[in-house]
Amino acid sequence: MTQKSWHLDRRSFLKGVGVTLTLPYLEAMATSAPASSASDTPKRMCFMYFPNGCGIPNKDKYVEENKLYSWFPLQAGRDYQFTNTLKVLEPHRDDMSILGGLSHPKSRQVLGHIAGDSWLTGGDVSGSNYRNSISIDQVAAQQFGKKTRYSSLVASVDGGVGYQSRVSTLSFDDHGKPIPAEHRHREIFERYFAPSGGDITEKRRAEIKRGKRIVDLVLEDSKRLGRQLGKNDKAKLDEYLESLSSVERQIQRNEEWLDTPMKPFTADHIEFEVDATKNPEAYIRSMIDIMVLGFQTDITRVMTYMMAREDGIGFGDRFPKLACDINIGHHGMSHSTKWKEWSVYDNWLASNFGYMLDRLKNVSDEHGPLLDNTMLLFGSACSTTHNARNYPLIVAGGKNMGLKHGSYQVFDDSVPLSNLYVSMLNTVGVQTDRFADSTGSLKSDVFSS
Amino acid sequence: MMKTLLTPSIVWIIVCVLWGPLHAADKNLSFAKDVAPVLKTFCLDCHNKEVQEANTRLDNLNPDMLNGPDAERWHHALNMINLGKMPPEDSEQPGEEALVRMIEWIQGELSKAIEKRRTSSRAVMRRLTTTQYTNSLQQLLGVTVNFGDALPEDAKSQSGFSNNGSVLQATPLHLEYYQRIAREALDQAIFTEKPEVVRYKLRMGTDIGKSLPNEKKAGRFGGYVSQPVDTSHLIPYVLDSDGNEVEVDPTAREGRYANVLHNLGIGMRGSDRNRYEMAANGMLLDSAVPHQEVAPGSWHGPSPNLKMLIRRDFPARGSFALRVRAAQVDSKQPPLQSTYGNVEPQSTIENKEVTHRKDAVVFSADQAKKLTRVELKDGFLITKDKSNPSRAAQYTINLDSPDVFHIDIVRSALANDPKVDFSFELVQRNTKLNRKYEKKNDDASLELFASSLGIMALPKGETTILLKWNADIKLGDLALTPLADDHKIRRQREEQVAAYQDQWQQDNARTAALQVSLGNRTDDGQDAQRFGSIQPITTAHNEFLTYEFIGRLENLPTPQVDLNEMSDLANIMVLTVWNGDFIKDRSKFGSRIVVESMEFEAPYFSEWPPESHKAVFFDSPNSENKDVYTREVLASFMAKAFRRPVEKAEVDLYHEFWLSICGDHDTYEGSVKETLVAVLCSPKFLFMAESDAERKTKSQREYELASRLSYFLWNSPPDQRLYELAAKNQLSDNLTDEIQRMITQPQIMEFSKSFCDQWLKIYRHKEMLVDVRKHPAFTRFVKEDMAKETYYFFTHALQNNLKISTLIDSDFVMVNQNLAEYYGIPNVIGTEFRAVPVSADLGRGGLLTQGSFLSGHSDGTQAHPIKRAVWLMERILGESPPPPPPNVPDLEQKEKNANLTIAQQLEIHRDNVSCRNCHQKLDPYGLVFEDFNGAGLLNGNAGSNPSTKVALPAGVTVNGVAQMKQYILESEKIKYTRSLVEHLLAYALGRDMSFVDEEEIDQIVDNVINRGSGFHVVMEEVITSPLFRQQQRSR
Repeated sequence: MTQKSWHLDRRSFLKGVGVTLTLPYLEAMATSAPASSASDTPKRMCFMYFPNGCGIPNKDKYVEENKLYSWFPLQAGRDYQFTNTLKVLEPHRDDMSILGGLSHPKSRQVLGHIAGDSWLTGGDVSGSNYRNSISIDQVAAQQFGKKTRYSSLVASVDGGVGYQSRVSTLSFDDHGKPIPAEHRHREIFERYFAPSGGDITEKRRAEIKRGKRIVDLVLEDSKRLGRQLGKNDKAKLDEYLESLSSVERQIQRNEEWLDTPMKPFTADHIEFEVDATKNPEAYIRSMIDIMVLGFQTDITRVMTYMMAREDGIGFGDRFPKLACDINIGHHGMSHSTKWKEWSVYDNWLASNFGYMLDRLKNVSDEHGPLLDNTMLLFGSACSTTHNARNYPLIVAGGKNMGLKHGSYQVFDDSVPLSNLYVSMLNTVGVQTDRFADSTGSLKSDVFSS
Repeated sequence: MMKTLLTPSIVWIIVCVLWGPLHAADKNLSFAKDVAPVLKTFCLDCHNKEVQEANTRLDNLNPDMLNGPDAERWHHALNMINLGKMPPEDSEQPGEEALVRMIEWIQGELSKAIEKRRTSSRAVMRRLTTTQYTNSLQQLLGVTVNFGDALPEDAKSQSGFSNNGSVLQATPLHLEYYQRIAREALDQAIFTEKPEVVRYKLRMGTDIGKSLPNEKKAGRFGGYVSQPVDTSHLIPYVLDSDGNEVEVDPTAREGRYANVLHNLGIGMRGSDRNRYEMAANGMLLDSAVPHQEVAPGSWHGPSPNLKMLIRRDFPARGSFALRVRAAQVDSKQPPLQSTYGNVEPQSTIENKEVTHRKDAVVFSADQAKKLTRVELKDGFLITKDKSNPSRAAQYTINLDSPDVFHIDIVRSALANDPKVDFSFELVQRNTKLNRKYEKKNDDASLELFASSLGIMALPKGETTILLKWNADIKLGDLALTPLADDHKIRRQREEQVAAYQDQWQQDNARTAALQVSLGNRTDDGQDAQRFGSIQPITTAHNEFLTYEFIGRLENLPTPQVDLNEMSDLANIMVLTVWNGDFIKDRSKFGSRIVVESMEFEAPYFSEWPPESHKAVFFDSPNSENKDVYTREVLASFMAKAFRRPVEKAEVDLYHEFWLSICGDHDTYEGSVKETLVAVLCSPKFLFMAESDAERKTKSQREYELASRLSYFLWNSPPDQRLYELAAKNQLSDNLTDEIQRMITQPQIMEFSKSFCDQWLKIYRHKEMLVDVRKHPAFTRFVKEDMAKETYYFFTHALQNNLKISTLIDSDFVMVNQNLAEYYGIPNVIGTEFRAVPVSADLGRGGLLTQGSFLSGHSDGTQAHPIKRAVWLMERILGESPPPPPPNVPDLEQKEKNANLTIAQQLEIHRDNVSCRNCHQKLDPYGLVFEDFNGAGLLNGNAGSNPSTKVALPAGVTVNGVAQMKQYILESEKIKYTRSLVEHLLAYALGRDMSFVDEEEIDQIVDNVINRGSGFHVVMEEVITSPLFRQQQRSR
């Protein structure tokens, strides 16, 4: 992964955008809400993704293997039994729900890997009509962004955006453009946990100043225009003035942020210099530690983490060998009938999610254990061997937001995955009845509140 | 009590007769006395709090029309009574006197309300729509980026228009975007220094790059279903901005041109291998077959297509040029069948004596050359080497003219060979003749056989043929006996050759064309969009020209480069060219082009500094005095942005701003740019505002009219001439001439597009996902061309001042070759749209038979009569169809039966009493289109479907679209004219029409009809009406 210096110079626009900045105006998009106060219990969202689907041996053909190595439990409901694959999550049974049968209708026709582009968006990513749309995390980020230093943290093992049909980020902005993911752990830490904010603060201060001056000028000019207008047009202009004022208020809030000190924290426990090509487990857990610290210090409330890339691309494909001593890449495995190996690897992937749950349970802020105020989604965008239906999905955490866990629920094809996203957004307080191609919210006990 | 059928005409007679005297005799009408009791007795049973037939509730109508909110509802009720629709004919009717008293009261109150509102509800300040915003910025800055793409989509008003002032919001989100877009736009217009240009070229031809050292060769782009072109056929070049070759160190792994040559290549992904071929002077491409988009893996572009691939090193924004050097060449001559099997031998053997026909060409064994594993012995070829069963011998024949031969051999029976079957193969160039023999069929008692291998046509001149066999036999003569003159196969072949020649001449006569797209590689194809227009090749065959296509990277799916990404398949820009002389039949090859080279240059400037820069920073004697000069720059820019002269105080404000920030910027241009960002966020730019009517000066009136007019007819800001007229206060006096002039300008297409999209809901066609499995001919090009058909048709009618009845029925269609072939119209050659006369039996002509409407109002698979009915009623006839009752179940769920068409399901639906009432009024208007399927094609013969014979609510029976068109033009002419006028006004004024405008609309409709209903008359009447001029009515 060597970089050429001139590349960086010419393309500096790509650098370090992994942590999406709370740009001066962006957060004003969401309906204006009062700035955060101490009593405001945070509602957080976190998304973790693994590629290439999961092992689900055919029930008729591989009777015994199915019982042992299927990702999904054997029967739905509250009394479900774990197979070998997800057994590692047994300790978290009461903090999670397994969802089966869900998928994005627009991606069902595409080659399974491509569905990865639309996991959090529900966009139309098929062929020459590639139209991706905003991802669920960014919808939440637009609303929460103004309450925190950064609106979201977008991370992936490979970093960057990848390319269409094989992205290396989970997050997409409101034009459906991929948001470059961050992957250098120490850099993330130094840049975004620095008490002063470093360069970024200065850059932001300048941007804010610039934006403020323009808004002031336009306000002044608009007021003068108002004096010349007829009555009806004045009413219309007032609408514009109101929008300008709300932008102005937001700029002031942003300015205040820059002078608010970081919460005290310690990062001694985080190992930044792990080589992913030698110890993927330690590497992924280092990123998870950073994410947990980010939630703890409330630098952001929205995070996404892509644990490896679709297909045999990216070095995630070597994780099975490095982490589980399985002599086949993840992608190759997903085309094979090596159910046992696949299950072992799926189990390893799940164990990292288990580590995340563990940490969130054991780390608290002034509102209690982080897990209770954090809703997580763990999963992939295809089931077995590139079938872009029946995504493996686990919703976890968020007890204080009313989530009711402990079951395995199965949905049929008529329910688009976007319905889950509507319910998740509503749970964290984003008032919307639509997301992408949703037909409503998810009818499920998990979100019965 | 009058018990009669109140048809509309009868009501009108009653009203007219009684109106006068009653009006004079009794002015003391009141709601309590004259209206409430009638309402209660005759209306409220069906329109109350609980029961709301037709979604109408009358028990809560506020009688105060002047101040209350219900004037519009009263107006609707009055219409229903006046038209005789209410109370329904089969229910109890009020007496005529009571009825007239009520009508008169409503009428009187409404008039007062209209007067009041007319003075208050006129002008609505409108934000520019996204298209207007884009056009305005483009015109202002001279940069053709689709700036508005980033903005949230505009909402649509009740009547379907997205330029409606009251629904066009300016949210904080918009402000964020306006500032960001302004900044990016100015970055593309104003330059402090010339940006670095990348310019690459790939030349192609058989083996032209073979001798290049490996490091100077182009890259090979592999991956899933890719069809890379061998790098020995390519030469990659890096050029400077003047087009001179730059010597790059191909081994450099760092620096500006590191690896650059390997990052250039050619791919043929998605192309039919039978339709392209590398030749000495370039890549040959036959007519492309348009691709269907069936998931997964079908979106590679038309086949064949030639892709120039550039990895990593290209800019993300700016203008660019793609130059394709190409010529049309003689069309492909595909191989013709030249072998035929299963015939009897012509040579005979009796008592070991071989007899050939006299005219046969005979090769004895000793004439065989290049023997493989056989040797000559006693006049036969016999096995020499048994290590391998394959044996071969070669013969050379020289012919004066092409001929067709029986091919016979003389051989021994299969004796000792253990093989059960054996075979002969005769190879002549690419032609093969195979014959298999079974051992059991060989009569071992015979020593020699004459066996036929089949029939083969051989060309004139010297031909080498290779005979191969795989068994241990003796081989004697090879005899080629010409077919008799009257032989069936000879005749058949002569016909084939003639047809083949004929096809080839037809193919050669076609005009090839170049079409290009830009996109990025995805796993299963490409995400691509076309740019530039199609360029026909009109020069003689083999005459090369360089064809230049200009586009903007921001407007196209340019890959977002990620330099972390190391995958070979990532960060690839795909520039595609194909022969746009489309052909739908894969067995035909059409015209043929040869592409010698492709060249990409970005950013591309036709001059430096660009016009856009000079337009802002113009030459001035004061350019050294920055304070004075900035004031000049700002005043000039602001006047253009605000579309009117600016006052000194306005310029002062922005000048002060510049003074306050110029210290923060490194360059002078940067500080001015920042000030211009503010100008572009001002409501004076973003809104079409009308100054206070009472204080409006003549000059303001003129400039506002200029803007209103140009945003109406061009969807763009005024041009120089309009400004000049406004400056001289002469625009309103020359309005008619200006309308004429504006209609002739090409920008009128902007009006056609925008107005048709909204009036005719073409956006539905664009959003419709037609099932291409069911409708295989419906390609993306057909879809695109259908929308264009409507735009061009509308523009044609407008520019040629045809009567507006043309829109309903025309004896021509506007098509290009692609769409003509789809519709089944022969002899339309070329990609440009033109008026093609059609006869009535084709079933096409007018908006009602255009694909954009028909497919847009389907469910993607089959026709949708309800959608079509609502469209016809609302859009063409200007009626409001009965609204669907709340929570109405979807047809498909209720009458769920997969085997029924929607029309059949509707039939069942109408049997349901509660549904019948509405559907009887609605369905006929949609069923009449049942001859056309969901993809806009005719199902068999028009008129053969019994569903299309419908009884309209007015009691008229109409069969099929042709009669429906006639009916509209003969019986509903006023309704149709009014509908067009109302929709034009709603679009022109940026607001929905209401009862307040009724009188003026009536006046326009009358004038239009009296003046002969020409299209120009309609536009003139709309634009010169007090409604558009925003003048108080003179009364």
